[in-house]
Amino acid sequence: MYREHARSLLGLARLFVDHRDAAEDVVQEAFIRLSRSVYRIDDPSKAAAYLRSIVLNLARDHNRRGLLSMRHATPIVDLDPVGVEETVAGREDHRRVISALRALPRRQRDCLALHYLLELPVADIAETLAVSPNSVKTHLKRGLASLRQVPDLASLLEGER
Amino acid sequence: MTTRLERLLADALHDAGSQLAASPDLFSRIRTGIQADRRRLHNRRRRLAAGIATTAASLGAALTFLVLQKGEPHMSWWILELAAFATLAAIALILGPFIKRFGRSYAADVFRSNPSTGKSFIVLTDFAYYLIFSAYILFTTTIDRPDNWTVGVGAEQIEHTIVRVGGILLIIGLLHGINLLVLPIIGRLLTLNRRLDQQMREVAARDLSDRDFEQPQGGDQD
Repeated sequence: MYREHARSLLGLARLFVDHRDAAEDVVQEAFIRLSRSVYRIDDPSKAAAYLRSIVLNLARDHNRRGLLSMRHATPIVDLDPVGVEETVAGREDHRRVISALRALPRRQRDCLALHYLLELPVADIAETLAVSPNSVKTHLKRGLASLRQVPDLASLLEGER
Repeated sequence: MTTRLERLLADALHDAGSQLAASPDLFSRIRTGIQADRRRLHNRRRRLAAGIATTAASLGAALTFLVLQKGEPHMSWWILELAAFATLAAIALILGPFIKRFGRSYAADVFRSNPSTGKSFIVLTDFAYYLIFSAYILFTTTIDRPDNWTVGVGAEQIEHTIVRVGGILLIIGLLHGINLLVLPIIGRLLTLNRRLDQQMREVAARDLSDRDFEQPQGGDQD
C-alpha cells in the first residue's frame, strides 16, 4: 500500500499544508489510523479511499490540531521548509493556480485536487469524500467556475473566454 | 472536452506533485509509528481494565462492609479512607492525561521550531505532576484513626475527605494554570537560544575563513 499510494498521498497533503515535513506527518498519521481500522475495512480496495479521506481531513485540521511531529519521529534528513507555492514558483502561472485553488471552499478544493492531481474518477472521489457522485460533479463545476472568477487567473484564461 | 482552465489546473498540480519524493526514512517512520501506536493502545486498554477492576473491587468491598455489619447500614471509617485514596489516585491518573490531550496543540505551537524539545518537556512535566500528586496523596492519607473521628463514618471525616479532593483539584488547576502562562516564555527563550547559537556559529565560521585569507600575507611578511 505504501509503495502504491505514499507518493500520491504526499502530493495531496502537500497541497494543503505549508511544509513538507508536516505533509509527511499527515501521511504517517494516515497509515497509522489505517492500521487501527484495517480490521473494520471489509473490502481491501476501499483502503485507498480511506487513506485519502484521512489525509484530506488531517491536512484540513493540521493547524487547529497542532504539530503531529509532537507524536511522530522526525525525519533523519532536514526537509525543505518551503511551501508548495514556492515549489512551483518557477512557473508563475502554476503558482497562481495553486494559490487560487487553496483559497477555494473545502469541498470544491478537495474534489478538484482529487480529480486533477490524482486523476480519480467521480465515483472514487465520491467514495473518498463519502458524498454522492452528483454532489462531486456539482463541487467540480462550482470549483472550476470559482477559479474562472479569480482576477489573478484572468490573464491566463483570456483565450478561453 | 478539456478546457484551458482544466489543463492549467492539471499541469500546475502535476508540476507541484512531480517535485515531491518521500524522505528515505518515511516508510520506517510509519512502521515505528504503527508499532508505537499499537503499544499505546494496548497499554491504554490494560490501564482501563485495571481501573475498572479496581473500582469494581473497591465498590464490592465497601458495599459488603456497609451492608453486612450488624445487619444495618454501617461504614467503618477506613472504608471511606480507602475510597478517598482510590478517588484521588483516579483523579491524578485520569485528569492529567485528559488535560494533556487538549494541551497538545498549544504545546506544539509553543515548541513549533523544536518539536523534540516539546516532546521532552511534556514527558518531564508528566513526571513532575505525578510526583507532586503522589506526594499529596501520601501526605494526606490517614492510617490511624484520629480521636475526633468516630468508628463509623462521621461528619469530621467526610469534611476531611472533601478537603482532600478539593485540594488535589486545586493543585492540578494551579499547576496547569502556571504551565499555561510559563510555557510561551520557555518556548520563546529556547527559540532565541537556538538562534543565538546559530548566529555565533556563523560568526565563528566567518572569522575562521577570514583568518584563512589573512594567513598567507602574514607568511610573506615573515
